[in-house]
Amino acid sequence: MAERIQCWEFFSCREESCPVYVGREINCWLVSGTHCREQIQGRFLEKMEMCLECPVLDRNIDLVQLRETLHLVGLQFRGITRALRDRDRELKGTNAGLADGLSRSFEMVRKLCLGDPTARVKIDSSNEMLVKLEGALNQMGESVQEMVDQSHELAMGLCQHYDTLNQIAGGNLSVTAHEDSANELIAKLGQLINKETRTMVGVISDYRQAESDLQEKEERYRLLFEQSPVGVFHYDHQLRITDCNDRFVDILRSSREQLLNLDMNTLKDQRVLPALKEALAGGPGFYEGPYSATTSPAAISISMQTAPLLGREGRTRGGMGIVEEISERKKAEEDLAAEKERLAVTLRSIGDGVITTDMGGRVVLLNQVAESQTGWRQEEAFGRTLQEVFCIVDEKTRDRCQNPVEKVILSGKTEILTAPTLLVRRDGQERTIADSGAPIRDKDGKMIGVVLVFRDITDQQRLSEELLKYEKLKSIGVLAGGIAHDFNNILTGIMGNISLAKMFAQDAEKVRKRLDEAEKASYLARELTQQLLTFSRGGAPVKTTASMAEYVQEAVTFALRGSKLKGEFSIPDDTWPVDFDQGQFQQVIHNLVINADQAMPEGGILRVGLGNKTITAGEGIALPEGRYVQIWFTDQGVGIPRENFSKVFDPFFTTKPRASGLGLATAYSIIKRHDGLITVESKPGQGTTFRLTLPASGKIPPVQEEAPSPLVRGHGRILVMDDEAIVREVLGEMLTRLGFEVAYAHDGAEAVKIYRVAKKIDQPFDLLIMDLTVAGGMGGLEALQQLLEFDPKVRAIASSGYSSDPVMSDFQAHGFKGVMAKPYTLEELSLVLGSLPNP
Amino acid sequence: MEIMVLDTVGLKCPQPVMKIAVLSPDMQSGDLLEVVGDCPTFERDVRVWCGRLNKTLLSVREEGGYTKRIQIQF
Repeated sequence: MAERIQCWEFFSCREESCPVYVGREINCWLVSGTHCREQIQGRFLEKMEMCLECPVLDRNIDLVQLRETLHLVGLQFRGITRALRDRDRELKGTNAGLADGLSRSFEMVRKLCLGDPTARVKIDSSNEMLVKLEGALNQMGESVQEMVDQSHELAMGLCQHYDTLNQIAGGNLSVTAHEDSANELIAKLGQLINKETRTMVGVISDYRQAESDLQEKEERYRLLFEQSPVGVFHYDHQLRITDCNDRFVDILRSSREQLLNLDMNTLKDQRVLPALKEALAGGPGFYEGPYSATTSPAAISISMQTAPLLGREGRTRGGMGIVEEISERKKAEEDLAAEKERLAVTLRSIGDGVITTDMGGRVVLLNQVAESQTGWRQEEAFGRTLQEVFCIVDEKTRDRCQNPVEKVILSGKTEILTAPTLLVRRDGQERTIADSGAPIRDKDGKMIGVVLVFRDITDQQRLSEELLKYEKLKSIGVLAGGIAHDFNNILTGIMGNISLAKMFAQDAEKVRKRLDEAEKASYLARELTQQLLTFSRGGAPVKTTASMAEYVQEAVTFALRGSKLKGEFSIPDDTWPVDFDQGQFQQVIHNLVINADQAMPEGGILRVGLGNKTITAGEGIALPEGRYVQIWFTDQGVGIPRENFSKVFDPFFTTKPRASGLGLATAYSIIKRHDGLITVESKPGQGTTFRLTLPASGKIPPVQEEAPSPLVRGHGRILVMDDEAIVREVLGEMLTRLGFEVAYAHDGAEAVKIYRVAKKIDQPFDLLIMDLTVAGGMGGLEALQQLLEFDPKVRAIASSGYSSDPVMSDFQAHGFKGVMAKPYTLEELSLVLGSLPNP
Repeated sequence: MEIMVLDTVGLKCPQPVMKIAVLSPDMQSGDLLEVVGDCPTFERDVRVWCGRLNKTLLSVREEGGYTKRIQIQF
């Protein structure tokens, strides 16, 4: 027998937990729980196969161990057999329970599979596995039920939402989806549906509102378009009218059918085309003016504005136009312009200066007269203060006058400047003005400015001064006239007797010489009375048309006889004729020559000139505009001091001791009655110039006739009527000397009586010489009127000491055949008698 | 009154009620639908559906097994 080995030695095992190692047991195969091959082994039968192959058994087993081993095996085998039997019995019981349990489980599963999620199995088995299985199955049933419930909930929710969506699709937006569901998705879906529904409701509502708004806007636009008071039309890029309103149709007096689709390129009146095309180019267009319609005979005035029609994208889709008929407005504008022009012309034509200011006293407007008077042009004056442009000072004090604008603004009323006011022009010239200011009010009565109206009264003032002077002279003249008349009657007696005495005293040289002297003195007296009468209310000139050029030189030369002065004449040939009384003018010239003679007592040159003069407004001459002839007399005397200028023409004013003081006053009066003017210009030590200005005549001077020869004798009966006995006596004597038979009457009534009786007894009178003025009785004019009724062929001569009597200046119109101004000489009487027309 | 019949036999729940739901939009108020189904939860599902969608469950007739015939008024 081989030596027995120790397994721990054989396998080099030092496993201290192995019972063989610990017990040092040689028969390791008989020990259970050994640690072999790194495993804890069980009993022999459990590890028999391993042990049978183990060299340790092979080395260590002998019969004894073999008997022991088999004994162990038998024990183990019996134990196993018992266990197996027990096990078999146990298994049989278990199988029965298991079958039952499984059967129930299968039933449950079947129900579950059939769709009954409530199927469950009762857990009452003792079989643990079966219990587990049943438990598991019940759990599965729970899970299936939960899934079924959830799927049902999902399906139900879907069904509900499907129904809801169908209703919504059918138009019922008031339906509400269920939002409470165990299924979150269904709940969320319900919320979503409701949200979408609300959104859709909102959108639809907004859409409907927008649609409503759009309809309303469209309606408004349509009303605006259709009922617009102006014509509106649209057109496309080809200039075709695509739409228009009724007003447009009315303006063109056409019809919609004719105007829609009208190609405006073919318009009869192409003036509107540029404006139409401008709109298509993107800019506004405009046309205003006359227009002739194409589809009707209308010819009107229009105002048209065009503009592009832009789409949303900003591109031009066409054009639109707005048309107004402005025919009436145009006419109103033209009328207004004409009215404005009329007003402007009126303003320009106003003879007074007009200045308007605003409420601040700043100049707004000047008319032409104001421009001329102030020296400021409208453009320069505009905006300036009134004081700058309209400088006025008190004529006497030279103080600046109160601003008239301020006065008007303060009072609100028309203000008139009362003090004499001088307007100082821009160039310093001064003119006397009368001015007034008035408020300018608007249509509501509110003051918006001031208007000043002023007039240059410089000339007017001079005229007034001349008039005043004239009136003064006139009043004095009335007095002088009365004296002169009576004196003339006396002179008639004196001169008449002297004439007669001279006839009787032809051979008495000395007596004749004395009578000549007496006659000269009476001539002087006559001249004096003539001057007085001329200066008085009388002196109405008996005018004839003559050339002043011819007359002046002759008259001046005649007046210079006996004077130390020498005359120098400057008289052009083309001087205009003048209507003047040659007798009176002789006085004027005579007086001016006398004045010059007195100014140059040692002699000198008197320069006399003539010239034509056309007077226009504003020249400062106190005469109306027109043609005049001027005659000037210039001496080289001592001159007249300035303070005497205004007095030289006053009656009885003289600086010469022996002068009457009536010469220049008489000349002034005569010139005045000839509608002329006499002025004086003088500087002390530089001589004096008297300038006469007389209206030129429109007539042609007649050819001068030769003067008749003196002492025309005649025959016949003459009736003399005069209230002055001396005049009757002298005149009667003169007539008798001339060969006439004379009868006498002391007033007109007696003369008529005597004339009638003489006619009846066939001893008619051939002529009457009647005094016009009979104190306290019938004058010659009235007597003649009575005689003319009795005898239309009566011939009468008017006699008067008043040469101003209108009968004297126009005797023929009153029925007389001639005139004789007292006093008269025998020669003058015979001249008048000789000039009478034959009966 | 004509009764529309819907056969859902053999269909597992919730397919029967989903079929009913599909037909529902075409049913007018007052129409009758008779549904036959054999799913164990068929009646319960139909009742719930009627309740949720405000339809009237008129009758339930058992026809053996799980098969039932249910009338619904719309």
